[in-house]
Amino acid sequence: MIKQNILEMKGITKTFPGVRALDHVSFELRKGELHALCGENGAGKSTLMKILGGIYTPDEGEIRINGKTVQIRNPEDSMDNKISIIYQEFNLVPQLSIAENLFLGKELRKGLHLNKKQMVKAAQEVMAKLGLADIDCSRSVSDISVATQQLVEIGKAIFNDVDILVMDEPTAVLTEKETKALFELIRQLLAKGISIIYISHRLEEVTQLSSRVTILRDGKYIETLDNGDKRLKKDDIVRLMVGRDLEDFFPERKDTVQSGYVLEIKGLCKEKQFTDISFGLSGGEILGFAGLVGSGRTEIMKAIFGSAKPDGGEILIDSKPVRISSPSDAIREGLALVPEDRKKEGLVLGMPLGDNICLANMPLISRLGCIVKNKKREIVDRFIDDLQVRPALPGRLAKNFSGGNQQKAVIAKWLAVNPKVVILDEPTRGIDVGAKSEIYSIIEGLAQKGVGIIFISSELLELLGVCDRVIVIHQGRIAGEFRKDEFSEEKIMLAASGM
Amino acid sequence: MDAGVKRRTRLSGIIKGLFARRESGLFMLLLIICTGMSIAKPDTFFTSDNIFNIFRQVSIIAIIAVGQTFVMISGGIDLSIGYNLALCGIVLSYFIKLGINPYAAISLGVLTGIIVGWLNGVMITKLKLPSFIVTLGMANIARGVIYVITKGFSISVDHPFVIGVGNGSIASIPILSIIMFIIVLIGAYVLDNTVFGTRVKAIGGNELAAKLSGIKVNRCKIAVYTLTGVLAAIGGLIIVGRLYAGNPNAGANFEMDSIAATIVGGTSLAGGEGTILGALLGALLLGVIKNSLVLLNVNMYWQTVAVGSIIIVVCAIDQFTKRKAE
Repeated sequence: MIKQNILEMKGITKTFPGVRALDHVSFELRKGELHALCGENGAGKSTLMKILGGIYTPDEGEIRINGKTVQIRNPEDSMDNKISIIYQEFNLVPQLSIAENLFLGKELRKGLHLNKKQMVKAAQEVMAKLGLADIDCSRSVSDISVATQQLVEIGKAIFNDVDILVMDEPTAVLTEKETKALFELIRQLLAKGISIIYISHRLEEVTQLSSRVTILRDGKYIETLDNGDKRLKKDDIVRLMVGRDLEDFFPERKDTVQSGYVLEIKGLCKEKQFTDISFGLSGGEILGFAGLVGSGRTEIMKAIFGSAKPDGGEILIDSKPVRISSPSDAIREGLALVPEDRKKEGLVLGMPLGDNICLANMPLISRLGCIVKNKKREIVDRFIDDLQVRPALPGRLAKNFSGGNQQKAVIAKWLAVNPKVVILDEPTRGIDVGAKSEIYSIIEGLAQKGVGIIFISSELLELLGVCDRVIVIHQGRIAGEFRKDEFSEEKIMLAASGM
Repeated sequence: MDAGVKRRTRLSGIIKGLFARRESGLFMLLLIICTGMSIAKPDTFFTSDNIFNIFRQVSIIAIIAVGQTFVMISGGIDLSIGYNLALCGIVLSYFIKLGINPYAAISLGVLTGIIVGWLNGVMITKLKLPSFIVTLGMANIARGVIYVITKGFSISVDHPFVIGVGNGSIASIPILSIIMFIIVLIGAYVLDNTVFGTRVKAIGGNELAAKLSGIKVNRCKIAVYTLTGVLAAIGGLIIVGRLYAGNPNAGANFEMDSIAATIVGGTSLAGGEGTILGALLGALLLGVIKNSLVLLNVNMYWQTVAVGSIIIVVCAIDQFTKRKAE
């Protein structure tokens, strides 16, 4: 017997400036099932869930709950429909206690005062029902671990009596053990009849937990696969996610690794962030960095690039020690950083794309401090052409380009300075599949020219597809190093969880 | 893209730009007011005397608005610019009165402007304080120093160079307006065509991205505030010439007038965008409105109300058209 649909989303379309994030996407959720939503970064999963959560309103489309059409215009509407969404960035108030967070907006009172004792007691009961009796609900959220915060988020949802629970990358910050506990909790929730939409990059989890899997690609609905008998294979999902065979998705890695190190890091450390980081990078090598979100990968690269000050350690370039105390020092030494968040750190969004490309290369396009228009045009046009930035309009403001083209512009900014080492921090986050493949080719092309590449990514698939070597970071330490012939997702995942 | 399409997009871009740009809107508004006034007051408004009078009145504001525009594009604000201007005027008057070489005295006045601006920049970047707080403090310090020097009395100045800068004219064009136009032209060139100008815009648009692109953000910001100090000093020199004296109350409210001109000219309070031409047009628009209200015999207090309303209305219209465009 097929259970009835608790949720139907039909023909959902959402356009942002420069990009159609969702194009007539449909999605169904049956009562009591775990329906996984899969797709590469930028496929539209999070946008679809934000529409369900009332953060965005769709341009077109219909949402039905228990067969009735509903309007979700804001987060309150979403809650009224008994939907709860646990976003990657949590919605807890860190200064308040767990109990106060659970009761946020409907606090228990005794006269004019908050009845804290009663709230803690009630909160404790809710958590106990979830098998989390050992969590002290009077503690403030800022004092508890990320994993516990996540459990509190789930507790809050249950406390609010939800029918539909959405989990966006719940395991991205969890260790192996915490993940197991979470899965146990998920099975309990399903048994209680709660329906779950589950987003994860970790496809083993998806095949283990889900009863159905819907795949999105570039904002379009692709297919819904049945996994009632848990027989679904990871490869089937991946092929649909990238829309082609993997051999075509990643460029062929040529052996361009040179002998000797172009960049060498010795004993780099910073209190509370990372300890004893030592590694070497050769010219023409693509070195991947894997690890959980928050493991310290980004902080290490910022320290190398001079935008954060390390407590100690040595940086050598071409075997000579160098002092890097600001990004401009790093650039002079031949380093380039494509930062994690291209909108906040990579681009001046309100500036024309061409100006953005020139931002790190001002001396190249100027004489005596004045910009030489011809030189500027020449460089901008060359990189727009080389990297296939579309549309090829250097005068258009950076914010009006799609994510993939924005990312290409950030990369272009660095290519004109002829760097020896390019550090790319999550360069494919939030961009479409085609642009991803192009970025891989750009990286491969740089390596072939002898540039050393550091490639940070949370997507193991692309690390394994692109890199010569992968270093795994766990809690600010190097937890493992794997050469191409010893790559496997399982090994890297275990190292990343500290095992 | 083939050449034809490119040319067509460029052409339509120019046409769109002409109508969409804040400057052209302001220009139209100026034109409408001037035409209206020429009809309403044919024998007083559109006379060379009155036009030059308007230019004399707006020149100082326009000069410091150039500095204010740079500061605001870099994401800051300079509330000390008016008292800095007055202080520079007092310093140069004081030293002229003391009897030292008048050109040395003028140099000391300019040096004062540079030091005040530089201190603003250093405190904002090194102490990591908001520009609002630093320049508010600096405004009070400058005002205090002015009263310490003058004890509240004007210092009269009769040096011909200073008086000439304030009141003279070349081919019946006021010298201070010529200075203003030169500064506006240089300012516009620097902002749009130099490395420095691009960096200022980048810092105001996204400071973190600018820093990660290797731009020395602190050095650049200090330069912006120092430059503004230089412009305040030039304004100070002019105002002493205009008034034949260093007057301790001379710069009052100039910071607000320069901010008003800059904002009406389309510079974003959030930083990153703005133009020098816009600031000039903003200063002109406010000057023409004040002048018109005088000619129309509107009560002086109501004039202030009118100017305040204009600032809000112009910016509201701009917001509205922007939102509509999106």
